[in-house]
Amino acid sequence: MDFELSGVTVTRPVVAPACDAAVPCDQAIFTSVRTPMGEGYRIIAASAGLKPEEKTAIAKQSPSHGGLCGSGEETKAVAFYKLPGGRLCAALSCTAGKEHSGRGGLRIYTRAVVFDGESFCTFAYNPFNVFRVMESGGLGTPELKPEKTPPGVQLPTNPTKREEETAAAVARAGVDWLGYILRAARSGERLVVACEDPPHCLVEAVFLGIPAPMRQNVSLACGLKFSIGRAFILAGVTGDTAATERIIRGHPVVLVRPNADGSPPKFEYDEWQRMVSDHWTEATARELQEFTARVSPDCSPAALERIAALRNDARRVATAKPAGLLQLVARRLAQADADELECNLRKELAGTIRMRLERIWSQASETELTAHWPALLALAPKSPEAFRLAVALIGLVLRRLAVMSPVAALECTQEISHAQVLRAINADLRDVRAAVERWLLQADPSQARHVEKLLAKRPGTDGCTA
Amino acid sequence: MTTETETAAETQYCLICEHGNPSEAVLCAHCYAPMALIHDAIRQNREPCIISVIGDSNVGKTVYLGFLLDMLSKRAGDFEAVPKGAYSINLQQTVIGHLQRRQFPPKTPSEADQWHWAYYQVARRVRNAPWFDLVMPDMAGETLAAEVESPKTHVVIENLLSKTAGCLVLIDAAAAALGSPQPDLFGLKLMTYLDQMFAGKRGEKIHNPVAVVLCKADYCPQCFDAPRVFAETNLNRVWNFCESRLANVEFFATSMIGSLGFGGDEEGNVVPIPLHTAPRGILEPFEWILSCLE
Repeated sequence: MDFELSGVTVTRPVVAPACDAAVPCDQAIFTSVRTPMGEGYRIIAASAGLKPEEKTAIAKQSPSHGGLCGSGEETKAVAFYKLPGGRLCAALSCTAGKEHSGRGGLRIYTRAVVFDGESFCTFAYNPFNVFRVMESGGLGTPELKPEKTPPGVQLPTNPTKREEETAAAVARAGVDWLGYILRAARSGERLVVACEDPPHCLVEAVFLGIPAPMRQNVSLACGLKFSIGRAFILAGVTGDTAATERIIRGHPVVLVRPNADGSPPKFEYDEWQRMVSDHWTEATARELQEFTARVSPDCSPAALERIAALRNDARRVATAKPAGLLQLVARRLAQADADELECNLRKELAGTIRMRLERIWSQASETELTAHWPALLALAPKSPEAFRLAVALIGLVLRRLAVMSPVAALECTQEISHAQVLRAINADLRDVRAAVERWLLQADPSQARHVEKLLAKRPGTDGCTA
Repeated sequence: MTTETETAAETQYCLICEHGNPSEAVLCAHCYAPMALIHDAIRQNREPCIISVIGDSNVGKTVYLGFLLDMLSKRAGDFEAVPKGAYSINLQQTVIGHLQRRQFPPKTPSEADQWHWAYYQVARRVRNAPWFDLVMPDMAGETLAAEVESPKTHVVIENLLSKTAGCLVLIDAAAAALGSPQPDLFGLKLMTYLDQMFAGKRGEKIHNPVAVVLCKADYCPQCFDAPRVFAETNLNRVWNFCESRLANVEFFATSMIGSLGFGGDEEGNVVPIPLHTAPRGILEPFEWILSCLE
């Protein structure tokens, strides 16, 4: 299965329909039964919409005798992959009683549902949501005598996700290991993740760290015994890994054991990795999922880096100091927007910074307010977004200073040279001058002369005088 | 230049599909055949001879191959057989071990990386007899069926059969004797697939030896007396195809299990229990193929 994460082959995310919408899917059943057409593992039932090449791919990816990790009757596995032609397949595998030929072992039963890539958004770009609705809809229950051509199925799109299980899996494996696995999955490396517990939650956590438009190219399996012929990017396995180690020797497949191998190999965190790791650390998986689902189809590394940097900065605002916040504005709001998401993120960042500075400066002293004045004035020419923010904050500072120290406020206004800023804060300038004039009425004559000179100094502000 | 030489030294080409693999690889990345085969073949410094055993799921390929290898290693039929590598013993060990416990060996998984492969050096125990390096995989019937239905789905089968010197096609004689058309039809599918694989010039018959092995012949003893007559009567489609397209074909009857008991599991499946083994007609097809290849 070809894999390309460069950003040119991904599908444009579309707006998700209402939650109660049902997604039409084709279905296929792969298991071992005796039929007039023969016996052994094969597709025993498939809805009419499935193409021959899709059935061939499903048969190749589905497990046969002894193909599940674990030998108990409760053993289950899931798989998600893209089919030839671009449709997506989600498959649930389980045991279905004893192998019918009497040669020992349990029969493995796989039900696969196939849907269009455009419908993936209705499951929040999360194949585990598909597995959950399949389970709750009874599609995980073996049906050994199905119609040869069963009708397609309508999958509801409102699964119940257990956030706490994901958080626990993240905690068990550790954020560093998850980061390492995510980096490999994003770059298309094949990885086998060996866990002591069922790997589903861990793999889901990693999968949700991948930008949504890329996800349909990341095939995954949990609970299937590793087979080099099933080219899953992310394969979660349990149990003894000796056979897997032997099979993958000399091939570009990496086996990791987060619970047993100590620390992961060192790797460089990029902004996206940092953002996802922060969410894992704070156990905010839902927030992460919502954000990664917003990513636009331009998933080039540079675009992701910009998007994640904006997001990371927005999350740092809550603890940043004014100097840092103003630097952030200078750094992030000065860039041009590449797409709608970036534009929105910049607006969100600007809004968050404004709220934070308003909160800080509403209780700040005169010294604190004037300390950042030059940096604040320097922001305005950077970009339209920076201009809007700068104007709002300049107005706020001037109003505060006009109350605390009208002369200091007047001195500050003298430093403004940007004509558009002066026009935008006209009302605030008027307030400052009014406050200064009130102050002059009771001021010492020597001080008053100096201030009157200041008042007369800027003919450009004549229109603002009372 | 140095780099190229080093790279070439590190790459080993799969015996089955000729795909380049790093020297430390255990399985071929392309067809999943064990790379130990190539290591052993290099040591012999002779072109190995691939003999394939093919047939439908549950026809008895694993048991037949397991018995054949076991008999060869016991010098049955005046053959000298030397297994190359411990992996070559795994199949016969599995088959003999299970049958000794009165169980059939487990189903062969469809995943090619789980198959047993055997590499044997075989020669008759007579002066100056040629040695054959035989490579024999135990393929899953399902995978064969899938490949026959959609050729090029499983590269290992395609490559293996295209390199096969001689082929044993196993057909369920017991089912055919009971009137089931399935063995005949699936046998015909296999034959047409072989025809595509071995195809030479247009209209020319195929010269690779093909032994049609009628399995479970203890259920229809007339098979042993006249396998050709049995095939012509009960497997007429296969018979006709063989007559039309194969220049080197012979029919053999075989049975491995002397007596069979039947039990049932809690789900109502009939569980056959091999009470004792009585191999009959195991070596003959193999012997015939070797004589054709000599």
